[in-house]
Amino acid sequence: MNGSRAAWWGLAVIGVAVLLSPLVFPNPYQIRLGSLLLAYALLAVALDLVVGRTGQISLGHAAFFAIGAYGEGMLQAEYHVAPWAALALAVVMSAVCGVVVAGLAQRVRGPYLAMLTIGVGIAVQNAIYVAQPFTQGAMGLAGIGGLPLPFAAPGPVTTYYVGAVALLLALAGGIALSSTRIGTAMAVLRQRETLARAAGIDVRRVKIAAFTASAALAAAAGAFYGTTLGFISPESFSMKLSIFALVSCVLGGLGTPFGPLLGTALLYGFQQIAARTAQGDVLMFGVLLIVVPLLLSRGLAGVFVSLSARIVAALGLQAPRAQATLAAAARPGDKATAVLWLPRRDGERFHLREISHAFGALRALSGVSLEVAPGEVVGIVGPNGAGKTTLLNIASGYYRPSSGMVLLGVTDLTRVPMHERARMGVVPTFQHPQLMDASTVLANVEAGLLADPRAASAKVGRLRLDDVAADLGLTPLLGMLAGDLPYGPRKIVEVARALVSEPAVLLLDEPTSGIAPADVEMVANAIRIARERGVAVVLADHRVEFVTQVCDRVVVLVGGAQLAAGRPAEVTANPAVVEAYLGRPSQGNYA
Amino acid sequence: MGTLGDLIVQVVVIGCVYAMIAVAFDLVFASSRVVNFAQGDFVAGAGLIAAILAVTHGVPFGIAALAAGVLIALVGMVTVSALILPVLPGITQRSVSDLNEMRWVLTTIGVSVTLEAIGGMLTPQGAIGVKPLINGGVNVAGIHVPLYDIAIVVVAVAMIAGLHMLLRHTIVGQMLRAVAADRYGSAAVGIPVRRVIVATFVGAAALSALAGVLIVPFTQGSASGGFALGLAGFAAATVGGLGDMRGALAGGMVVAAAELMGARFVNSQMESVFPLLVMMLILVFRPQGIFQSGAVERV
Repeated sequence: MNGSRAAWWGLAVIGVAVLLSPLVFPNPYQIRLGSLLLAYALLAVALDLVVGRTGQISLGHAAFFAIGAYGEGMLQAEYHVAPWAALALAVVMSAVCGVVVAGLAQRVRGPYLAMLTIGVGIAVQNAIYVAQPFTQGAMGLAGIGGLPLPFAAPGPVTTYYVGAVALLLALAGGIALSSTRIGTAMAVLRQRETLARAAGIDVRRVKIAAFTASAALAAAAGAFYGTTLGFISPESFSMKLSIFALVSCVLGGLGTPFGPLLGTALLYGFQQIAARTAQGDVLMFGVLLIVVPLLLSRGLAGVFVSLSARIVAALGLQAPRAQATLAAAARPGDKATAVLWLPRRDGERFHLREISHAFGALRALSGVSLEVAPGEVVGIVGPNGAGKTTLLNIASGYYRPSSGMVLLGVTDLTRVPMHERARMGVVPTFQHPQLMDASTVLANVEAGLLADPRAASAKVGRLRLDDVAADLGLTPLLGMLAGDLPYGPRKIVEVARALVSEPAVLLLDEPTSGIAPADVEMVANAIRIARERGVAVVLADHRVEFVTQVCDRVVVLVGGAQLAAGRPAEVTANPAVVEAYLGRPSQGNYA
Repeated sequence: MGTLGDLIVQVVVIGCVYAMIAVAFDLVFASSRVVNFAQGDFVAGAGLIAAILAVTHGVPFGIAALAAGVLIALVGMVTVSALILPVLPGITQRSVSDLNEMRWVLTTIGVSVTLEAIGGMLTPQGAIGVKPLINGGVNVAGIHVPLYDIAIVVVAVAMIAGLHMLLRHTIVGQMLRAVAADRYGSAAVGIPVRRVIVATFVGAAALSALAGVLIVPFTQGSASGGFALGLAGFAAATVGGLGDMRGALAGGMVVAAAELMGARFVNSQMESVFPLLVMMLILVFRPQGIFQSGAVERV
């Protein structure tokens, strides 16, 4: 990918600069400052894994940095463990703490998580003060030896290079991560968790993994910090440090390869200059935290990327990607044949058996059953409050039914969560499309590929994506931002996202609600295409004529119970259905 | 260190102040689903302004307190209008950013950090000592209760009860609940959504300022305590269930008890950790608070 090649070049440039700077600034004091900068940059890179990549705000990363520094220091001073072994142990300790905090944190969201991590940060700092027999408390811990290298004499230069290599490795890991499945999964779940679940991503696990890795890396940074200074004291690990790291990420650019490093370098440089003006740096942190998210959501790195893209475009060096796609798909003739279409779990029927569900005292569904075969479209109709959406949410795994079973073939899905169902081929769409508004249509549809464990090859996935986009008429829109689309096309994007994973079962909740009449035909077309590909389709909708037109069978729900079921013509002729929709035939004469 | 009776009086008084801060969090959250991370700095800021005016410049304390309230309410208004409304979905045109709710979390943390830094610059000599407005006390069952403490409890309970009644029984409260439930829908039926949200922020800022002015004889005029006050208030709000004012008083008492008793009986160095522990336990095990049942999320 293009962005990733640019990132590797960027890393090469940064690598040269970082590795050569001790030759430019040979003064030991300057080298030590450089080492500290490396430690803080590593902390920011670690924090960005949590904040920038998975959208979890942590204000307590100083805690993991402290665990690393004190782990290293205490193991060395009290237990005479060798520096590298102490570092490894400290990293493991911090990772364990990270798992615990992240596991607990998954029970809360957004602002609560920020508060929880503030708590962790303050608690750890306090613990260092209080556990004086081990940590020396406020006096600080001295005599931490440097990390030795077998082929170099110990000293500030060696220390610097240990940190430099660690930072470059961390940056390289970050760039490599972006092009992996898990990197894509992170980008999706950061923007839309529901979309991520529908695309088969175990959001909880990815977040915990990111937080754990982040805690481990922050501890490594902290251990390196401790060995650089040789002396640590608890006041260095206050919330100010957590805020410093957060501001670094925000200023440089959240979730960008070099943003955290860039932000750290700028802030650290400013701190060195403004060290004499008390509170001046803190004031600047505050102002940056206010201003940057409002004006530049991707920080300085975002500015750099959009500027360089503009320069590239102005020089005519490269056609924008969206246009290239448009041109390629302008010839519809030569695509479908090339793509192998393999619906998953071929031949298996999807059952909802005797589903009942209650929200507290409200009985939403009582004993509703439904069955769909591959290549069949079943519609659920009914007045508002009939339980249509509830039934679909039970089919998708968003709710677990009070009683009843959900089956795919002979596999019981009743207790299987949404993301696992999506991986097994039961893929939902939502009444209000869950899209990544700040990403392209292409990226949104691509997210669907994550749900198909077989879509290992990017090439196959890309072929399939182009095929689905062409069939659904989305090809000209692939380069647009999803947030700029009108409602109708947004719904089509969701269907495309579901179809690229070659689902066994496609769930559509109110696909025509709120869209322009002209777009209804687009939705009907999408459903026909799904059916042709052997997908079992379940849809709920208000438009009776639409449902009778696209469905093979129709189920009528009234008050959470099934009123009628059968072929569309039979159902619409059923007097009970007519009565439910239009009321009892009147005696009056309307002529 | 006083007797057990003194400790109980302290818990009640501090609990009432925390409850006021909790109600400020509740008010903002109820209308906008925003947690204002600078709420505690509004409290400390008001106390600091009142202390500077009254102690350093000799302004009568009542006028100093009023000025502090007005200033902090203004800060609240600027915060919400300039920094929060522009990034709330459903208020302005959809602004394309994938940061979502992270944006207001970051900006309100920024406001908190900024206010604390400004406060620090205003007090280069450190905290400013303030004497309580009312002296003397009464004896209740052998416990000496300062009159000032009684005044705090009376003001806090009256404010919280009044606010609760206002929101429960007037159309203002209905509007607030409507805005909280659905911004688009509320705008469609003619509720001035922006004004409701701004009003709750300003009201919450004023309430925080009142809490700050009341508590300043205990905390002294200083900006550095803002974050801790905010955390304690937020902890009290989570115990009661965020957005639910009925729980705030109970939450305030629980948090104050944890803090003061933890400091007294466990470890006085860890005073500020106990409210956090309460908050963390509640967030992890009962995020909806101890009085509410779980809410249903919708897509």
